[in-house]
Amino acid sequence: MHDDDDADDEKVCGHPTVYGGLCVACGRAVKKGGIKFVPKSAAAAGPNKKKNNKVEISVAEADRMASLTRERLDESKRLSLVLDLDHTLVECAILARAPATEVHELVVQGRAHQVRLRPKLGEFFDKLCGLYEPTIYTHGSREYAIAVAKLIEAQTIAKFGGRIVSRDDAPDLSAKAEKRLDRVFPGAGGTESSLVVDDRHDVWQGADLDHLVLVEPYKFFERRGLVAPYQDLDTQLAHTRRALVEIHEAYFKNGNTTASAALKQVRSRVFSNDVLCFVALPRDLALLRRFAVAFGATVEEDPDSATCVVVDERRRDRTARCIRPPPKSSASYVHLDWFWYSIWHLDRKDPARFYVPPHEIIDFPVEDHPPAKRIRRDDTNHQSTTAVVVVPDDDDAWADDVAAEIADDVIDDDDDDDDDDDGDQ
Amino acid sequence: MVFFFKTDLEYSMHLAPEYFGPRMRTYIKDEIVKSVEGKCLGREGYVIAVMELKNEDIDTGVVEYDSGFVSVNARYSAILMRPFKNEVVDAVVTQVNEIGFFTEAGPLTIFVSRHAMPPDLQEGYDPDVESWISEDREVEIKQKCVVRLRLLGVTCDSQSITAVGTIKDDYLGLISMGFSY
Ligand SMILES: [Mg+2]
Ligand SMILES: [Zn+2]
Repeated sequence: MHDDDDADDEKVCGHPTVYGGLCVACGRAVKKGGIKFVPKSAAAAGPNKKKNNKVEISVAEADRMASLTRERLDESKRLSLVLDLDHTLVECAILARAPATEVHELVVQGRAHQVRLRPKLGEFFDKLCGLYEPTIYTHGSREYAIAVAKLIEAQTIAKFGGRIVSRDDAPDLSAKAEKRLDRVFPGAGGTESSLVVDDRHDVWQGADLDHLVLVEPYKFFERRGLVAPYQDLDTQLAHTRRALVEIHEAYFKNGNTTASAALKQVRSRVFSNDVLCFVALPRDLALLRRFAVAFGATVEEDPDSATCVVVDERRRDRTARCIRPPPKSSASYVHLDWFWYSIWHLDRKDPARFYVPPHEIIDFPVEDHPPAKRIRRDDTNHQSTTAVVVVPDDDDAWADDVAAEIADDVIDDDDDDDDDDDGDQ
Repeated sequence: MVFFFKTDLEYSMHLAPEYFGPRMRTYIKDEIVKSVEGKCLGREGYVIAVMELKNEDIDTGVVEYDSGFVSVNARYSAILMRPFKNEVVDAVVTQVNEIGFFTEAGPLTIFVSRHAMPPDLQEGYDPDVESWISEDREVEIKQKCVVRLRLLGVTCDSQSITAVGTIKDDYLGLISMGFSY
């Protein structure tokens, strides 16, 4: 449309933001290759239109916005909190399953969605709204994200202020299922005062993982079908809430720090006194080690020098011969759940509650039983729970791996009086 | 500089044999209205309403040899909306965020950035109320407000028209707080 010399344009107008190819300040069509732009995804795309025009902002504008946001947050002593929706704050079912109480019906793009809010979501925002500014970042469509945001705003004191990033706003999201913090907070230092709460670590890469507060995937609908009567004993958000208060404290106590450093401080306390040895499938091993170290543990290959031997249930059945005789040290054998729950809750769980009785470990010499402590899974329970079939969920492949293990715990918690709740240390 | 105009257009369609019969013309008319109203015809603009579609303007169809479908052409007149640069438009605010706000004028979406706001409004985004508020707090632009804006730039492709606007000029800006639903 404009044949003007682009270089001349840029002298007159810095083209700070581009919408659908047009500069928002001068109205000219901006050609590629001149000023460097970054995508700006936060609630930027147009309202519910078939075609969403991309908004891009110049690097200078991104920096300006980042420092403005930082200023605003510092002033109110808050941090940014990027929240995933599905399996983190809510669970959504599109096919109507058995009628459930406390399920909200939403119609999105002509389809009925049943949305269940995760337990303690209200308390989560009650406590955290003064400490964090929430932003939604979801793989869902823009319409879905807005509908769920409205529901959460209606049911809790949360205010998202239009800070909603959906797959329609962030092209990387739909293509590779990848999330990037700099898409939400572009500009120099834009991500420094932000944390992420998500049930998936695999969608985050590199330095963004240092901002991630991982939570147990919330799968109410899936598990309700398996166990009746199903009580929703999910306490994840109470733990996350407590951890986020601690991280906020660590951040503002230290004057000049970053959110990732504050998170690291809280994370590294979890396994700070543990020497862990993993008995797991090789492909998981690297991941487990990475998490163990990030959460303060020392990892040993030799069970004799470990304080905790973490047993992966899948490993037990197939490759039992790899499990060594009991260590000479006083190491306790714990189920992998112990490890993940400690990470999800950012709080070291009592290994006794996740103790794996030696007779469950095939090839484990019977005469070398350590003195029986409290056995978490008895045989009857175990029989009944191995039959559980977890419905596969493409959206959450990683979570599926642990879902079967989680299902065990839920059953145990049902007849467990000292349920692991908020008051638990 | 014309925002709305009446023009003659042509429509071609493929009609399945099940629609042949006495109601065929009615069906063709319905089909045209249904498929063009609200649609963007590229540079022509958006079709606001089909005005005239006479029976004699529906040509005799040609039966396609291999499918049995009939290929029909029809001429009709319609009111179109075609935005032009520098035009002044009243639009409803539909979404407000930290980089500006989106408005709608009929089928057209127009984005107004903070860079296209007067200086006393440019820094005034309040995320808690999702509004742009002027320094003297006299002006508050939020969802459902009506603003008068001037189109800074317009581009089209075959499916939609992209427009950016400005309220940084005399007689532009907030004109009403809109309707409450
Ligand atoms: Mg999720
Ligand atoms: Zn420009």
